[in-house]
Amino acid sequence: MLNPSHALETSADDTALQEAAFWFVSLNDDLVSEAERQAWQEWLACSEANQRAWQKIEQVDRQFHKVPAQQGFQVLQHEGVSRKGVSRRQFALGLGALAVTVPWLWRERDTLLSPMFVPGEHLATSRGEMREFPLSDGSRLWLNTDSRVEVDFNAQHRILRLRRGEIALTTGKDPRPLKVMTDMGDVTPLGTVFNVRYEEDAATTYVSVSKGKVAVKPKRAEDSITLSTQQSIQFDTASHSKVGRLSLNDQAWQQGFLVADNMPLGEFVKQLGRYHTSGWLCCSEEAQSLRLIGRYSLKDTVRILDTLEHSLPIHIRQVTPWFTYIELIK
Amino acid sequence: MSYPAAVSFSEFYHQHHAWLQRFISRQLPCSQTAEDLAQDSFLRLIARNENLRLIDSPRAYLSTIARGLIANHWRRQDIEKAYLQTLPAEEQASVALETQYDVIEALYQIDRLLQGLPDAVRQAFLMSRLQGMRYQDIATELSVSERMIKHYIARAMLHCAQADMPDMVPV
Repeated sequence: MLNPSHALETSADDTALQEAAFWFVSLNDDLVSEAERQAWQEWLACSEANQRAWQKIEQVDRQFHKVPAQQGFQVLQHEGVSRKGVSRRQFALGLGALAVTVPWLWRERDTLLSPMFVPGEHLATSRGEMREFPLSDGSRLWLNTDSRVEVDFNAQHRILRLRRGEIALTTGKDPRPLKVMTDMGDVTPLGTVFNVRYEEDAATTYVSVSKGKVAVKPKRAEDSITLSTQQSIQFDTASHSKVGRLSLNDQAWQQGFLVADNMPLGEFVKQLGRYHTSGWLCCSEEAQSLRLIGRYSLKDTVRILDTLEHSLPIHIRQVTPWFTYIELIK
Repeated sequence: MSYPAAVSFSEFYHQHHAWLQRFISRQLPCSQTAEDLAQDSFLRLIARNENLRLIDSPRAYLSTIARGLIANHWRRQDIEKAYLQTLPAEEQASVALETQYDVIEALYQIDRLLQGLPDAVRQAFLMSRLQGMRYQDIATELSVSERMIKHYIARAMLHCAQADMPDMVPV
Protein backbone atom coordinates (compact mmCIF):
# COMPACT_ATOMS: atom_id res chain seq x y z
CA MET A 1 0.00 0.00 0.00
CA LEU A 2 1.72 3.15 -1.15
CA ASN A 3 0.90 6.57 0.24
CA PRO A 4 2.22 9.29 -2.06
CA SER A 5 3.42 12.31 -0.13
CA HIS A 6 2.63 14.75 -2.94
CA ALA A 7 -0.70 14.65 -4.73
CA LEU A 8 -0.64 14.58 -8.51
CA GLU A 9 -3.09 16.44 -10.69
CA THR A 10 -5.59 13.67 -11.24
CA SER A 11 -6.29 10.37 -9.62
CA ALA A 12 -5.72 8.56 -12.91
CA ASP A 13 -2.16 9.89 -12.90
CA ASP A 14 -1.80 8.72 -9.34
CA THR A 15 -2.88 5.18 -10.15
CA ALA A 16 -0.77 5.13 -13.31
CA LEU A 17 2.31 6.14 -11.38
CA GLN A 18 1.82 3.43 -8.77
CA GLU A 19 1.38 0.87 -11.51
CA ALA A 20 4.38 2.19 -13.43
CA ALA A 21 6.53 1.81 -10.31
CA PHE A 22 5.52 -1.83 -9.98
CA TRP A 23 6.05 -2.45 -13.69
CA PHE A 24 9.51 -0.99 -13.35
CA VAL A 25 10.31 -3.44 -10.58
CA SER A 26 9.11 -6.43 -12.55
CA LEU A 27 10.90 -5.46 -15.76
CA ASN A 28 14.18 -5.11 -13.91
CA ASP A 29 13.99 -8.52 -12.33
CA ASP A 30 16.42 -11.31 -13.06
CA LEU A 31 14.33 -13.18 -15.56
CA VAL A 32 11.50 -11.40 -17.31
CA SER A 33 9.17 -13.64 -19.28
CA GLU A 34 7.95 -12.75 -22.72
CA ALA A 35 4.40 -12.79 -21.36
CA GLU A 36 5.26 -10.18 -18.74
CA ARG A 37 6.89 -7.95 -21.31
CA GLN A 38 3.83 -8.30 -23.46
CA ALA A 39 1.59 -7.40 -20.54
CA TRP A 40 3.66 -4.31 -19.86
CA GLN A 41 3.37 -3.20 -23.50
CA GLU A 42 -0.37 -3.61 -23.27
CA TRP A 43 -0.51 -1.59 -20.07
CA LEU A 44 1.57 1.14 -21.74
CA ALA A 45 -0.69 1.26 -24.78
CA CYS A 46 -3.74 1.45 -22.54
CA SER A 47 -3.73 5.19 -21.85
CA GLU A 48 -1.79 8.41 -22.09
CA ALA A 49 -1.70 8.58 -18.32
CA ASN A 50 0.22 5.30 -18.31
CA GLN A 51 2.67 6.61 -20.88
CA ARG A 52 3.23 9.83 -18.93
CA ALA A 53 3.76 7.86 -15.75
CA TRP A 54 6.28 5.57 -17.44
CA GLN A 55 8.21 8.59 -18.72
CA LYS A 56 8.50 9.95 -15.19
CA ILE A 57 9.82 6.64 -13.97
CA GLU A 58 12.38 6.52 -16.76
CA GLN A 59 13.40 10.07 -15.99
CA VAL A 60 14.22 9.09 -12.42
CA ASP A 61 16.13 6.04 -13.56
CA ARG A 62 18.22 8.11 -15.96
CA GLN A 63 19.61 10.09 -13.02
CA PHE A 64 21.44 6.99 -11.86
CA HIS A 65 23.31 6.63 -15.13
CA LYS A 66 25.03 9.92 -14.46
CA VAL A 67 27.01 8.70 -11.48
CA PRO A 68 29.72 6.04 -11.07
CA ALA A 69 28.29 2.91 -9.43
CA GLN A 70 30.51 2.08 -6.49
CA GLN A 71 31.52 5.61 -5.57
CA GLY A 72 27.95 6.79 -5.90
CA PHE A 73 26.79 4.11 -3.51
CA GLN A 74 29.44 4.98 -0.94
CA VAL A 75 28.45 8.61 -1.01
CA LEU A 76 24.69 8.19 -1.02
CA GLN A 77 24.02 5.21 1.16
CA HIS A 78 23.04 7.23 4.19
CA GLU A 79 20.69 10.18 4.34
CA GLY A 80 23.25 12.31 6.10
CA VAL A 81 23.52 14.50 9.14
CA SER A 82 23.15 18.24 9.40
CA ARG A 83 25.92 20.01 11.22
CA LYS A 84 24.01 20.01 14.48
CA GLY A 85 23.54 16.25 14.38
CA VAL A 86 19.75 16.39 14.05
CA SER A 87 17.98 14.39 11.37
CA ARG A 88 16.16 16.46 8.77
CA ARG A 89 13.60 13.73 8.47
CA GLN A 90 10.60 13.73 10.79
CA PHE A 91 10.51 10.42 12.58
CA ALA A 92 6.97 9.19 12.96
CA LEU A 93 6.05 6.19 15.07
CA GLY A 94 2.85 4.29 14.45
CA LEU A 95 -0.16 5.82 12.78
CA GLY A 96 0.52 9.36 13.86
CA ALA A 97 0.81 8.36 17.50
CA LEU A 98 3.97 10.37 18.05
CA ALA A 99 6.31 12.45 15.90
CA VAL A 100 9.83 12.68 17.28
CA THR A 101 13.05 14.03 15.82
CA VAL A 102 15.91 11.78 16.82
CA PRO A 103 19.62 11.94 16.15
CA TRP A 104 20.45 10.25 12.89
CA LEU A 105 23.58 8.76 14.39
CA TRP A 106 21.87 5.69 15.85
CA ARG A 107 21.03 4.36 12.41
CA GLU A 108 24.39 2.75 11.96
CA ARG A 109 24.74 0.57 8.92
CA ASP A 110 26.44 -2.18 10.90
CA THR A 111 23.40 -2.63 13.08
CA LEU A 112 21.33 -3.39 10.01
CA LEU A 113 23.67 -5.76 8.33
CA SER A 114 25.87 -7.67 10.71
CA PRO A 115 24.56 -10.70 12.54
CA MET A 116 23.68 -9.41 15.98
CA PHE A 117 22.89 -12.48 17.93
CA VAL A 118 24.62 -15.68 18.84
CA PRO A 119 22.58 -18.35 17.06
CA GLY A 120 20.61 -20.82 19.19
CA GLU A 121 17.80 -23.10 18.20
CA HIS A 122 15.85 -21.60 15.30
CA LEU A 123 12.11 -21.80 14.99
CA ALA A 124 10.54 -20.49 11.81
CA THR A 125 7.27 -20.33 9.90
CA SER A 126 6.73 -19.75 6.21
CA ARG A 127 4.36 -17.21 4.73
CA GLY A 128 0.76 -18.02 5.61
CA GLU A 129 1.76 -20.44 8.35
CA MET A 130 0.72 -19.86 11.98
CA ARG A 131 2.03 -22.41 14.41
CA GLU A 132 2.40 -23.16 18.06
CA PHE A 133 5.68 -24.40 19.49
CA PRO A 134 5.71 -25.73 23.04
CA LEU A 135 8.86 -24.75 24.90
CA SER A 136 10.84 -26.77 27.40
CA ASP A 137 9.84 -24.52 30.30
CA GLY A 138 6.13 -25.03 29.73
CA SER A 139 5.68 -21.71 27.90
CA ARG A 140 3.45 -21.68 24.84
CA LEU A 141 5.03 -19.90 21.91
CA TRP A 142 3.07 -19.01 18.78
CA LEU A 143 4.79 -17.90 15.59
CA ASN A 144 2.74 -15.92 13.11
CA THR A 145 3.18 -15.83 9.31
CA ASP A 146 6.71 -15.52 7.91
CA SER A 147 8.48 -15.37 11.28
CA ARG A 148 11.70 -16.50 12.84
CA VAL A 149 12.82 -16.72 16.43
CA GLU A 150 15.89 -18.14 18.20
CA VAL A 151 15.45 -19.98 21.45
CA ASP A 152 18.33 -19.59 23.87
CA PHE A 153 17.48 -21.43 27.06
CA ASN A 154 20.28 -22.40 29.45
CA ALA A 155 20.74 -22.92 33.17
CA GLN A 156 20.75 -19.19 33.90
CA HIS A 157 18.22 -17.67 31.56
CA ARG A 158 15.52 -18.07 28.96
CA ILE A 159 15.96 -15.79 25.97
CA LEU A 160 13.91 -15.59 22.80
CA ARG A 161 15.42 -13.52 19.99
CA LEU A 162 12.83 -12.29 17.52
CA ARG A 163 14.59 -12.10 14.18
CA ARG A 164 11.58 -11.63 11.94
CA GLY A 165 7.78 -11.33 12.08
CA GLU A 166 5.60 -11.84 15.15
CA ILE A 167 5.31 -14.06 18.22
CA ALA A 168 2.76 -14.51 20.96
CA LEU A 169 3.87 -15.97 24.24
CA THR A 170 2.12 -17.40 27.27
CA THR A 171 4.81 -17.70 29.87
CA GLY A 172 5.34 -20.86 31.85
CA LYS A 173 6.22 -21.05 35.52
CA ASP A 174 9.98 -21.20 35.77
CA PRO A 175 12.49 -19.58 38.14
CA ARG A 176 14.89 -18.55 35.36
CA PRO A 177 14.43 -14.97 34.07
CA LEU A 178 12.71 -14.75 30.68
CA LYS A 179 13.32 -12.09 28.06
CA VAL A 180 12.35 -11.43 24.44
CA MET A 181 15.15 -9.62 22.64
CA THR A 182 14.71 -7.69 19.41
CA ASP A 183 16.99 -5.50 17.30
CA MET A 184 15.50 -2.46 18.97
CA GLY A 185 15.29 -3.42 22.60
CA ASP A 186 14.12 -5.95 25.14
CA VAL A 187 10.71 -7.01 26.34
CA THR A 188 10.62 -8.62 29.78
CA PRO A 189 7.43 -10.36 30.78
CA LEU A 190 6.20 -10.51 34.35
CA GLY A 191 3.90 -13.52 34.24
CA THR A 192 2.00 -12.79 31.07
CA VAL A 193 0.37 -13.47 27.76
CA PHE A 194 1.78 -11.01 25.21
CA ASN A 195 2.75 -10.30 21.57
CA VAL A 196 5.92 -8.93 20.03
CA ARG A 197 5.94 -7.96 16.38
CA TYR A 198 8.69 -6.48 14.22
CA GLU A 199 7.20 -4.00 11.72
CA GLU A 200 9.49 -3.91 8.72
CA ASP A 201 7.72 -1.04 7.00
CA ALA A 202 7.87 1.40 9.86
CA ALA A 203 11.12 0.00 11.29
CA THR A 204 9.57 -0.33 14.75
CA THR A 205 8.71 -3.14 17.13
CA TYR A 206 5.17 -3.55 18.46
CA VAL A 207 4.29 -5.10 21.82
CA SER A 208 0.90 -5.77 23.34
CA VAL A 209 -0.18 -7.51 26.54
CA SER A 210 -3.22 -9.76 26.86
CA LYS A 211 -2.75 -10.61 30.48
CA GLY A 212 -0.26 -9.47 33.10
CA LYS A 213 2.58 -6.97 32.59
CA VAL A 214 5.73 -6.56 30.52
CA ALA A 215 8.67 -4.19 30.82
CA VAL A 216 9.81 -2.75 27.50
CA LYS A 217 13.29 -1.32 27.27
CA PRO A 218 14.41 0.28 23.99
CA LYS A 219 18.10 -0.32 23.51
CA ARG A 220 19.28 3.22 24.05
CA ALA A 221 16.68 4.28 26.54
CA GLU A 222 17.54 4.86 30.18
CA ASP A 223 14.45 3.23 31.65
CA SER A 224 11.89 0.59 30.86
CA ILE A 225 8.23 1.29 30.22
CA THR A 226 5.74 -1.01 31.89
CA LEU A 227 2.76 -2.22 29.90
CA SER A 228 -0.27 -3.67 31.65
CA THR A 229 -3.16 -5.85 30.50
CA GLN A 230 -4.83 -4.73 27.27
CA GLN A 231 -2.10 -2.19 26.50
CA SER A 232 0.20 -1.86 23.49
CA ILE A 233 3.19 0.22 22.45
CA GLN A 234 5.53 0.73 19.48
CA PHE A 235 9.22 1.41 19.89
CA ASP A 236 12.60 1.51 18.19
CA THR A 237 16.11 1.70 19.60
CA ALA A 238 15.75 5.19 21.00
CA SER A 239 12.12 6.13 21.45
CA HIS A 240 8.55 4.88 21.84
CA SER A 241 4.98 5.82 21.05
CA LYS A 242 2.24 6.61 23.54
CA VAL A 243 0.74 3.56 25.22
CA GLY A 244 -2.29 2.38 23.27
CA ARG A 245 -4.83 -0.43 23.34
CA LEU A 246 -4.39 -4.02 22.40
CA SER A 247 -5.71 -4.97 18.98
CA LEU A 248 -8.21 -7.81 18.58
CA ASN A 249 -5.93 -9.19 15.94
CA ASP A 250 -3.08 -9.74 18.34
CA GLN A 251 -4.69 -13.00 19.45
CA ALA A 252 -6.98 -13.74 16.50
CA TRP A 253 -4.23 -15.02 14.22
CA GLN A 254 -3.55 -17.87 16.61
CA GLN A 255 -7.05 -19.09 15.81
CA GLY A 256 -6.40 -18.45 12.11
CA PHE A 257 -8.49 -15.32 11.72
CA LEU A 258 -8.09 -11.70 10.75
CA VAL A 259 -10.64 -9.55 12.52
CA ALA A 260 -11.92 -6.24 11.20
CA ASP A 261 -13.82 -4.08 13.63
CA ASN A 262 -14.72 -1.10 11.46
CA MET A 263 -11.20 -1.24 10.08
CA PRO A 264 -10.20 0.88 7.07
CA LEU A 265 -9.66 -1.25 3.97
CA GLY A 266 -6.16 0.15 3.57
CA GLU A 267 -5.13 -1.20 6.94
CA PHE A 268 -6.90 -4.50 6.29
CA VAL A 269 -5.09 -4.99 2.99
CA LYS A 270 -1.78 -4.21 4.66
CA GLN A 271 -2.43 -6.87 7.31
CA LEU A 272 -3.78 -9.38 4.79
CA GLY A 273 -0.67 -8.89 2.69
CA ARG A 274 1.42 -10.50 5.42
CA TYR A 275 -0.42 -13.78 4.93
CA HIS A 276 -0.91 -13.66 1.18
CA THR A 277 1.37 -16.15 -0.52
CA SER A 278 0.96 -15.18 -4.16
CA GLY A 279 2.69 -11.83 -4.53
CA TRP A 280 1.64 -8.59 -2.98
CA LEU A 281 -1.52 -6.60 -2.49
CA CYS A 282 -1.90 -2.92 -3.17
CA CYS A 283 -4.89 -0.75 -2.35
CA SER A 284 -5.68 2.46 -4.23
CA GLU A 285 -5.78 5.65 -2.20
CA GLU A 286 -9.50 6.18 -2.65
CA ALA A 287 -10.39 2.66 -1.61
CA GLN A 288 -8.26 2.82 1.53
CA SER A 289 -10.88 4.53 3.66
CA LEU A 290 -13.72 2.07 3.04
CA ARG A 291 -14.66 0.33 6.30
CA LEU A 292 -14.87 -3.39 7.01
CA ILE A 293 -16.44 -5.46 9.71
CA GLY A 294 -15.97 -9.18 9.97
CA ARG A 295 -13.93 -12.19 10.90
CA TYR A 296 -11.98 -13.62 8.00
CA SER A 297 -10.34 -17.02 7.86
CA LEU A 298 -6.70 -16.75 6.92
CA LYS A 299 -6.59 -20.23 5.40
CA ASP A 300 -7.37 -18.83 1.96
CA THR A 301 -6.47 -15.19 1.42
CA VAL A 302 -7.61 -15.22 -2.20
CA ARG A 303 -11.09 -16.20 -1.03
CA ILE A 304 -11.07 -13.24 1.35
CA LEU A 305 -10.42 -10.96 -1.63
CA ASP A 306 -13.38 -12.51 -3.47
CA THR A 307 -15.59 -11.95 -0.44
CA LEU A 308 -14.51 -8.33 -0.27
CA GLU A 309 -15.39 -7.79 -3.88
CA HIS A 310 -18.93 -8.92 -3.17
CA SER A 311 -19.46 -6.81 -0.12
CA LEU A 312 -17.63 -3.57 -0.98
CA PRO A 313 -17.76 -1.26 -4.01
CA ILE A 314 -14.34 -2.38 -5.16
CA HIS A 315 -12.77 -4.16 -8.08
CA ILE A 316 -9.89 -6.59 -7.61
CA ARG A 317 -7.56 -6.26 -10.57
CA GLN A 318 -4.90 -8.88 -11.20
CA VAL A 319 -2.37 -6.59 -12.88
CA THR A 320 0.22 -9.37 -13.11
CA PRO A 321 0.15 -12.82 -11.55
CA TRP A 322 1.94 -11.53 -8.48
CA PHE A 323 0.48 -8.04 -8.18
CA THR A 324 -3.10 -7.59 -7.09
CA TYR A 325 -4.54 -4.09 -7.17
CA ILE A 326 -7.69 -3.16 -5.26
CA GLU A 327 -9.55 -0.14 -6.52
CA LEU A 328 -12.85 1.64 -6.11
CA ILE A 329 -15.54 0.91 -8.69
CA LYS A 330 -16.14 4.13 -10.58
CA MET B 1 3.57 41.25 -13.17
CA SER B 2 1.29 44.13 -12.27
CA TYR B 3 2.88 47.31 -11.01
CA PRO B 4 1.64 47.26 -7.41
CA ALA B 5 3.02 43.76 -6.92
CA ALA B 6 6.42 44.80 -8.26
CA VAL B 7 6.58 47.73 -5.90
CA SER B 8 5.61 45.66 -2.90
CA PHE B 9 8.32 43.09 -3.65
CA SER B 10 10.95 45.77 -3.80
CA GLU B 11 9.78 47.13 -0.45
CA PHE B 12 9.66 43.65 0.97
CA TYR B 13 13.18 42.95 -0.21
CA HIS B 14 14.58 46.15 1.27
CA GLN B 15 12.82 45.57 4.56
CA HIS B 16 14.18 42.10 5.11
CA HIS B 17 17.20 41.46 2.94
CA ALA B 18 19.89 42.74 5.30
CA TRP B 19 18.34 40.95 8.24
CA LEU B 20 18.17 37.67 6.32
CA GLN B 21 21.75 37.91 5.26
CA ARG B 22 22.86 38.40 8.88
CA PHE B 23 20.67 35.45 9.90
CA ILE B 24 22.29 33.18 7.33
CA SER B 25 25.80 34.45 8.10
CA ARG B 26 25.47 33.29 11.67
CA GLN B 27 25.35 29.73 10.37
CA LEU B 28 27.52 30.11 7.29
CA PRO B 29 30.69 32.12 7.80
CA CYS B 30 31.37 32.56 4.08
CA SER B 31 29.77 35.88 3.15
CA GLN B 32 29.51 35.11 -0.56
CA THR B 33 27.54 31.97 0.13
CA ALA B 34 25.36 33.79 2.64
CA GLU B 35 24.62 36.41 0.00
CA ASP B 36 23.79 33.72 -2.59
CA LEU B 37 21.49 31.87 -0.25
CA ALA B 38 19.74 35.05 0.80
CA GLN B 39 19.03 35.84 -2.86
CA ASP B 40 17.88 32.28 -3.40
CA SER B 41 15.45 32.54 -0.51
CA PHE B 42 13.79 35.59 -2.01
CA LEU B 43 13.65 33.92 -5.42
CA ARG B 44 11.83 30.97 -3.94
CA LEU B 45 9.39 33.25 -2.28
CA ILE B 46 8.52 34.79 -5.65
CA ALA B 47 8.32 31.37 -7.26
CA ARG B 48 5.64 30.45 -4.76
CA ASN B 49 3.59 33.37 -6.01
CA GLU B 50 2.58 34.51 -2.56
CA ASN B 51 0.66 37.69 -1.97
CA LEU B 52 3.33 39.45 0.07
CA ARG B 53 0.83 41.65 1.85
CA LEU B 54 -0.84 38.62 3.35
CA ILE B 55 2.27 37.06 4.90
CA ASP B 56 1.91 37.19 8.67
CA SER B 57 5.51 36.93 9.74
CA PRO B 58 7.80 37.53 6.78
CA ARG B 59 10.95 36.88 8.77
CA ALA B 60 9.68 33.55 10.08
CA TYR B 61 8.77 32.57 6.54
CA LEU B 62 12.08 33.70 5.07
CA SER B 63 14.12 32.06 7.79
CA THR B 64 12.31 28.75 7.22
CA ILE B 65 13.14 28.88 3.53
CA ALA B 66 16.70 29.88 4.38
CA ARG B 67 17.12 27.02 6.84
CA GLY B 68 16.14 24.57 4.16
CA LEU B 69 18.65 26.07 1.76
CA ILE B 70 21.39 26.02 4.39
CA ALA B 71 20.73 22.34 5.09
CA ASN B 72 20.88 21.68 1.32
CA HIS B 73 24.14 23.58 1.13
CA TRP B 74 25.74 21.53 3.88
CA ARG B 75 24.45 18.32 2.40
CA ARG B 76 25.93 19.29 -0.95
CA GLN B 77 29.25 20.00 0.73
CA ASP B 78 29.14 16.64 2.51
CA ILE B 79 28.44 14.92 -0.79
CA GLU B 80 31.28 16.75 -2.47
CA LYS B 81 33.68 15.81 0.30
CA ALA B 82 32.53 12.19 0.37
CA TYR B 83 32.79 11.89 -3.39
CA LEU B 84 36.30 13.32 -3.52
CA GLN B 85 37.33 10.89 -0.82
CA THR B 86 36.27 7.99 -3.01
CA LEU B 87 38.69 9.09 -5.74
CA PRO B 88 42.25 7.79 -5.38
CA ALA B 89 44.73 10.63 -4.79
CA GLU B 90 46.01 10.85 -8.36
CA GLU B 91 42.50 11.04 -9.74
CA GLN B 92 41.50 13.86 -7.44
CA ALA B 93 43.88 16.10 -9.33
CA SER B 94 43.48 14.69 -12.81
CA VAL B 95 39.72 14.19 -13.20
CA ALA B 96 38.47 17.32 -14.90
CA LEU B 97 36.81 19.75 -12.55
CA GLU B 98 33.86 19.96 -14.88
CA THR B 99 33.35 16.21 -14.79
CA GLN B 100 33.66 16.24 -11.03
CA TYR B 101 31.10 19.00 -10.85
CA ASP B 102 28.65 17.08 -13.04
CA VAL B 103 28.95 13.97 -10.91
CA ILE B 104 28.56 15.89 -7.67
CA GLU B 105 25.52 17.65 -9.05
CA ALA B 106 23.96 14.36 -10.12
CA LEU B 107 24.69 12.81 -6.72
CA TYR B 108 23.13 15.78 -5.03
CA GLN B 109 19.97 15.56 -7.14
CA ILE B 110 19.56 11.86 -6.42
CA ASP B 111 20.08 12.58 -2.74
CA ARG B 112 17.27 15.15 -2.84
CA LEU B 113 14.94 12.72 -4.55
CA LEU B 114 15.63 10.11 -1.90
CA GLN B 115 15.05 12.43 1.02
CA GLY B 116 12.48 11.07 3.43
CA LEU B 117 12.82 7.40 2.67
CA PRO B 118 13.64 4.99 5.48
CA ASP B 119 17.21 3.74 5.46
CA ALA B 120 16.44 0.19 4.39
CA VAL B 121 14.33 1.36 1.44
CA ARG B 122 17.03 3.80 0.38
CA GLN B 123 19.74 1.16 0.58
CA ALA B 124 17.74 -1.41 -1.37
CA PHE B 125 16.97 1.12 -4.07
CA LEU B 126 20.60 2.22 -4.42
CA MET B 127 21.86 -1.36 -4.46
CA SER B 128 19.51 -2.03 -7.33
CA ARG B 129 19.88 1.13 -9.40
CA LEU B 130 23.52 1.98 -8.73
CA GLN B 131 25.15 -1.36 -8.14
CA GLY B 132 22.89 -3.39 -10.38
CA MET B 133 22.40 -6.06 -7.73
CA ARG B 134 19.79 -8.77 -8.23
CA TYR B 135 16.75 -8.54 -5.96
CA GLN B 136 17.60 -11.87 -4.34
CA ASP B 137 21.11 -10.69 -3.51
CA ILE B 138 19.85 -7.43 -2.05
CA ALA B 139 17.40 -9.43 0.04
CA THR B 140 20.21 -11.55 1.44
CA GLU B 141 22.39 -8.51 2.09
CA LEU B 142 19.65 -6.67 4.00
CA SER B 143 18.20 -9.76 5.70
CA VAL B 144 14.67 -9.31 4.38
CA SER B 145 12.59 -11.23 1.87
CA GLU B 146 12.88 -10.72 -1.88
CA ARG B 147 9.23 -9.75 -1.85
CA MET B 148 10.00 -6.93 0.57
CA ILE B 149 12.87 -5.75 -1.63
CA LYS B 150 10.57 -5.49 -4.65
CA HIS B 151 8.14 -3.54 -2.52
CA TYR B 152 10.91 -1.23 -1.30
CA ILE B 153 12.12 -0.50 -4.81
CA ALA B 154 8.61 0.21 -6.10
CA ARG B 155 8.03 2.48 -3.13
CA ALA B 156 11.33 4.33 -3.64
CA MET B 157 10.66 4.73 -7.34
CA LEU B 158 7.21 6.16 -6.65
CA HIS B 159 8.61 8.50 -4.01
CA CYS B 160 11.25 9.83 -6.43
CA ALA B 161 8.85 10.17 -9.34
CA GLN B 162 6.58 12.32 -7.20
CA ALA B 163 9.27 14.49 -5.63
CA ASP B 164 9.22 18.21 -6.27
CA MET B 165 12.32 19.65 -7.80
CA PRO B 166 12.35 23.08 -6.12
CA ASP B 167 15.92 23.77 -7.22
CA MET B 168 14.57 24.51 -10.65
CA VAL B 169 13.56 28.07 -9.82
CA PRO B 170 13.16 30.28 -12.90
CA VAL B 171 15.89 32.90 -12.87
